[in-house]
Amino acid sequence: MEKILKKFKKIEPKEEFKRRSLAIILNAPQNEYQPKPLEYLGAFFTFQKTMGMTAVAALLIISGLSFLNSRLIGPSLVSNLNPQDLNKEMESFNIQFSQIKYYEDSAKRIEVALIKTSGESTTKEQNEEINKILNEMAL
Amino acid sequence: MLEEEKKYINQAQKGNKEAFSFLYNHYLPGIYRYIFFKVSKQEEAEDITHEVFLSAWQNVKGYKYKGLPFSSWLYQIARNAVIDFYRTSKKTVQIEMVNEEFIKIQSRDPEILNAEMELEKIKKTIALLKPEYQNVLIMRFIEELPHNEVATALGKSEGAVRLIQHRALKELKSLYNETTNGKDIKEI
Repeated sequence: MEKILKKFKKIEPKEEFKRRSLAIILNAPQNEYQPKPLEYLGAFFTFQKTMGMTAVAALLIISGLSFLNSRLIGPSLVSNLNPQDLNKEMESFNIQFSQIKYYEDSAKRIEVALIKTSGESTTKEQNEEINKILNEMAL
Repeated sequence: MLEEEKKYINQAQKGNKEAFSFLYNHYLPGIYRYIFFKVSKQEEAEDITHEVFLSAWQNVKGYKYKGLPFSSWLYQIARNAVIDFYRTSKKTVQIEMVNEEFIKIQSRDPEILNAEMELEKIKKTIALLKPEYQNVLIMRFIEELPHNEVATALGKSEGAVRLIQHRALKELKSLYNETTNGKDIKEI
């Protein structure tokens, strides 16, 4: 099929038509080319230029952000990341934990001491007393 | 050719008639054949071809070289001209009207006669295909344009052109076989 199609290449326009048409065409005036506004932009923003400008813009944004970070937001953040400050903060946490532990232990001891001082009553006795009170309330 | 072509285009853009004549003579047969397969009459093919080259001459100053031959631009103009032709005249290709003047039997040699009849049959079959298929077949197999040029001229990707080419060939073969078989049956 491809071979058959290639045979069509024999078809040619008439010589007379070729001459006549060309003569008319060359006597016609040419249009002046006026690029459209967007074409200027298209011509300016070539691929390489666009990539270059994007890289510069990205660099400016990154450096600007890092500047803002170091000058405006940064100092407190930076000081917070100081190892000595962090150690101090950790120590205060440890103190707070030990205090909590101390309070818990002391609360238990106080409870035991109070029970002992209030007539040496045992837990069993206390429970019986509570049950008694509850029964009275229910009746 | 491309470098030489660029030179002629630059000169034609400056209004050099000889430079444009060179481009005209070089590309006229291909553009003419393309249009000839898209319309039914020789006169219509000549008129549209003339319009294409007139438009090319008038607007050559706006042409920008993008690494592809000048022909891609010309085929784009030709394609639009054919579309305009059908839009304005509301004509459709009728197989009965297909002018056979171009495939005139010049000789009575039976071998040539057979070849010409075959060509005639193919032309009629091509006219049955979708315009998109016709474009690709004409450009690829009759004009032997590379895929990238066809893609540029038709405003499609190279992959799409390859796909259309495959489908178009398949359909052409199928239609050609159908018409051939039909004729054979009739003749019997």
